[in-house]
Amino acid sequence: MIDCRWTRRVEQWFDGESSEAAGVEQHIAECARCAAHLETLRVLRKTVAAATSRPEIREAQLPAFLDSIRERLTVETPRRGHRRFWALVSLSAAALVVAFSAFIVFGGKPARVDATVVESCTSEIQGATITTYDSEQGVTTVWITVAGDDVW
Amino acid sequence: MVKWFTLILIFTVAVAGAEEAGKLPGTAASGMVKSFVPPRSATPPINVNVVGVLATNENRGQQSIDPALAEVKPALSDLSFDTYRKLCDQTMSAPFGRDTRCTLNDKYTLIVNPISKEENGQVRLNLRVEMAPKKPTDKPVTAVSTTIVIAPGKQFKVRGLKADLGEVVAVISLQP
Repeated sequence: MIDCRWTRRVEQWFDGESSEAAGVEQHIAECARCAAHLETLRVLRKTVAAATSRPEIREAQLPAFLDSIRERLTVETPRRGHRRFWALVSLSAAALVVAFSAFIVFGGKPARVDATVVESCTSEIQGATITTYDSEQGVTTVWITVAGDDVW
Repeated sequence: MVKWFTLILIFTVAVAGAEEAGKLPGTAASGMVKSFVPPRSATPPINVNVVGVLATNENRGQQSIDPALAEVKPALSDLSFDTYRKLCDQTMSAPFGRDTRCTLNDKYTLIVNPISKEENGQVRLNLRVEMAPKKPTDKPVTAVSTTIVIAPGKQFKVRGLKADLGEVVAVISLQP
């Protein structure tokens, strides 16, 4: 707190409410404490004014400001990209269905398999042994052998 | 909406594919797929060629093969006899599900019974060799009965059917 009886009148003068401006100005010139207090008031006013001021777009800056807005509007939204992804997947699935159907209808018969398969072998002859083998020429063979000649 | 449509499509294809691979029983999806496939006609009879061979050891100095056996000579190459004579060479039409008989000699008769035709072109058939009974009053004995799956053009043989000095061999093949 400033210990000067002119302090209140200096503050009123600073706010433009003083009716004795000449006397206050003379006192400020002679009193170092009131001069310092006045400087403090000026700094405070400037700081408050800077903090509460809003940015202003000057007329020269307006075209660049509008271009910036337009540029941001042309950027794709994530939602649109999501839809494009599913559209692509849907198209792929549809192509898969068409290809699968074409394979079923026009694919023809499966590839031929040439290997001969022996699924079963039996004999009514008692004691007969049946073996199967493929010869070097690829001929599948069923071979029956019976111990003794009496059964034949 | 698009998402659900896509998922349903993928599911349909997957189910149809799995059913086609035999992993699932019949489904609506497979019915839809099969509706595109033309129906199969009744399977026509197959042509089966049977060559009967009498293979014997007659102590010849060199191997003797009947010239009429030229087509089945490779099928006999693993046998160790010195003489090969043709007993029969018969191509017969064999209907599916029915016995078709071919007499190899006075003792053995080959019976062919086609069972099914596979989608890959192979044929499943049952082959039986019946042996004439020693007594006329007895029933024939099935010396061998086998079920095979064979492709047209491939040869198959049954050997070991006892005969004087050797054995009877039957070489079977399907006409393409």
